[in-house]
Amino acid sequence: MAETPTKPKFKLPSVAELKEGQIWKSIFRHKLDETPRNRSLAVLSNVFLHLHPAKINRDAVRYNYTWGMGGITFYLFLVLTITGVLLMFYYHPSKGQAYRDIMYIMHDVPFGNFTRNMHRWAAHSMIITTWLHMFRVFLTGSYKPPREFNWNIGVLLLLFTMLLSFTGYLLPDDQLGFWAVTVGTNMARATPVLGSEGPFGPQMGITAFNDVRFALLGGSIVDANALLRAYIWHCVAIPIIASVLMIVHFWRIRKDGAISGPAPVMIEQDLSGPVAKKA
Amino acid sequence: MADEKNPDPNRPAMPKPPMPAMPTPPAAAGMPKPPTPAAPGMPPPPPAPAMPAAPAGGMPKPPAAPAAPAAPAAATPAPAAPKPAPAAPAAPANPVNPAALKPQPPKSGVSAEPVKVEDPAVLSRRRDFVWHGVAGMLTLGAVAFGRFFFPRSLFEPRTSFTIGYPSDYGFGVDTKFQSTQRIWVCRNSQGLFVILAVCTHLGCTPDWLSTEGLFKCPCHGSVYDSEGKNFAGPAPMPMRRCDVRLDASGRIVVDTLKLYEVGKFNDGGPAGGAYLAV
Repeated sequence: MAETPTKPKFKLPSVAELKEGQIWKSIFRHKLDETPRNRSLAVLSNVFLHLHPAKINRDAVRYNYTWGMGGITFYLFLVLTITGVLLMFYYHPSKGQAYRDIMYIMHDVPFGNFTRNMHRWAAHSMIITTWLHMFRVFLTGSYKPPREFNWNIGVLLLLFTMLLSFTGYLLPDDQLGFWAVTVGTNMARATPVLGSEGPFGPQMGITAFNDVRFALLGGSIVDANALLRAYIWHCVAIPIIASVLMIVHFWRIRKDGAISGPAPVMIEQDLSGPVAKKA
Repeated sequence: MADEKNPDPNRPAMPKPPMPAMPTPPAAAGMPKPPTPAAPGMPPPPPAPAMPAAPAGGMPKPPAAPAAPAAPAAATPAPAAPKPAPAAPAAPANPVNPAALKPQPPKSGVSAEPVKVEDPAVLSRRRDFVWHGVAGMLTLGAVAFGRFFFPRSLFEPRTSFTIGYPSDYGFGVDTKFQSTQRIWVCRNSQGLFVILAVCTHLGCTPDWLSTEGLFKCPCHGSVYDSEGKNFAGPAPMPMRRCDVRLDASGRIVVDTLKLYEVGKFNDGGPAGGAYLAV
């Protein structure tokens, strides 16, 4: 009304003022003081940071204890997810088109070759780091109780990492990938019971048209169906499965004494099975 | 009732403990059904102080004042032992003034009618039924999921086709159908036969090297002679041969699904077999 002329001019709020405002306070629930309590709160109240423990053993950050291989493997998985999604914007999983798309990505798409090479090198590296991680876990005896369950989750993750690698092999639809998948799926013929040339396979009525290789390829030859199946397994199904397993894996690390930590103290009557006796 | 909830009300083996002492017929009136044990580790309450109506036990709320007003209507014959149930160690000893507490009716017990408490055996059967249903659905889903990966119809090249007349082929190896049908048409003094161009090691397509007169597999180095017999590399046996026959017009019909392994290369004749005598 009449007071409009007397209204103060709009002024950008300072950071200090912002911090007093409702928006800031709705996002950040506490101050960021340099106190142990506040530093813990910063971790605990953040969905991303809370994946990390608020406090860890001093030894857990020593590289010569863990080589950081598990973390690097997870980091590479993130790199692969991001670059993989980027590559999917240009890739059609159909015969003929697939190889052209790879050429297109490599030679024409801006940063396409860079993205593809990042994906490729991260994939190779992830296989290596997964093995090294496993090797370290073996050397430090971290597969022993109470961590034996997590070791098994890790073995499954290794399997799915290699399946990701294998399914990604076919996607360029080049000679290398085509024959690699030909060889790999021919090995599946020799699967016991489920393979048409494996032990007890023919006796169970398994032929080349209903065996495990057939299910992998979606047909009896490495063709369009195989390419599409490799694509779906590679880009959707296995990443989801592996992510679920990773959630369990990381959770169990925390619950089983954390990185480089001693086994957690458990009350015997809360435990069942061999762990109780071990303790 | 609430007091003597057994630790696991689902276990049918545990019979309902008899109501000890205190014959208060409408005891259960207005009571919510026995709460699921809030503190599983809690030892079973001693049977003595069967508080008939006071909602003590493992109720999450502090016991609503032992005084009579806590129990509405039907619980009027409340015994004169209104001390809080000693069997409720989990209940915080809230210094709530009993008088300050409204005579708040139990949550579900608005009406004074007794709430029927199911027999644990019945509950167990019911739960088993549900779980069996869930398991059945999951099993059906798993079977369907598995079956889903085996398509009924395939859109693959024909496995039986004609390749022209026998007179089209001279002695030696003809590779003109290698890329389209994955076969080689061969002819020697014995007759005409068709080799399936699949390495017997792991299924790659060997190359025909006409200058050397050999098939060599690029994948793992298996070597075959001009009749497909393996002699070097990891291949375990000679390459297989396709069924060949002549149709009514005299053309050669090849079937790549009907294969002959080594030892059966002399099978057959014009009506179909591993070779055509031409």
